[in-house]
Amino acid sequence: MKKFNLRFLTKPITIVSALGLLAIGALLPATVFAASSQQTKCSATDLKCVIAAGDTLITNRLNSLNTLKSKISADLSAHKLTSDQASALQADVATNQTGLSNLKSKLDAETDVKAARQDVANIFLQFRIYAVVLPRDYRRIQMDIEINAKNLMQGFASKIQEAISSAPANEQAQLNALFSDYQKQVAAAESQLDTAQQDFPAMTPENFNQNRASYESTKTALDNALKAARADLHQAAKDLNEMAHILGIKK
Amino acid sequence: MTWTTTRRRALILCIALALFLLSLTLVACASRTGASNAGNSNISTSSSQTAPATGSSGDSNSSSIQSINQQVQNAVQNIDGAQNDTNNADATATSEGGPPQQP
Repeated sequence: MKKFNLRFLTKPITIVSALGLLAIGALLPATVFAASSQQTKCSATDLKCVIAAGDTLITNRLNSLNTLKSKISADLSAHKLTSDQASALQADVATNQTGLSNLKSKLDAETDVKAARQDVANIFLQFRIYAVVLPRDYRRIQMDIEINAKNLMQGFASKIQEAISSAPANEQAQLNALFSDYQKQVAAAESQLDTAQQDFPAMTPENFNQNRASYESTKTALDNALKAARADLHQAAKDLNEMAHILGIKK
Repeated sequence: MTWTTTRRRALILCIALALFLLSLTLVACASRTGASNAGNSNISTSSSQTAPATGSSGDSNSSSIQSINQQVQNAVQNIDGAQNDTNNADATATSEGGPPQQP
């Protein structure tokens, strides 16, 4: 009986599998790997180990802040953020980067393991980059983008009205109803965004450390406001899309 | 061509096709969900702009409204991208939620 040899399959399978793995690899979120790099356990007196572990924690946070910085610049270039909005966000990133860099210098210079451990604790207590700063700043970007969308929609109102007024009479009622809802939704979004703006000052590492319940409740209120504004803006966009469709149909 | 050779070729084709389809499906799924990344790379992929239209006065109302509509649809897509980035930031927040971790 002839032996069935699979060796000839090795090359094509390797190539196709590599392509498949590349596609899968590109899709895996970085979060899968984000938390895995932590926690080396150091002995009570191992100063070098504590410093090295602290340096890693700081570097991870600096990298994440750099990512946020690039994101802000990209959004500014794409006109998703105004220069004022981007400047305020970049200033917050810079403050945290400077603070962490100073803490790293202090940690690296420590000669006492207890002091080094306190520096490591301060990475969390004073900065809370992952728990507070990044969630807050990405929410701020989201809010700014929602505000800009809302402003855009408000700015277009008179042009939409103008287009409706020159539409055929038999379309006016439907178009006016849609426009009325459009305006209502944009106004509702504005109100939610006003609420959202008031929540940001309370989102600090201090509040996170000292009054966690209040911090979480503020964060929930902020999320609800952003979510509601987003839904309102989506509905307004849907209304506009329908109006554009009606107005775009050639008679 | 022997029966064994034909079978081999068919098998190779089937495997290659299956893997190719799997890759395509995954890529399609990713683009549908916004394909945003997380953790250290929270950059959303949408690049549309939200600058207001400055349509010329000669534009017809219909074409003007189409342009306005396009800009508004882009703006709400930007919001969705930003929401994804917020979700990604929240996903990493849990690693720091408790008391300070000591090495």
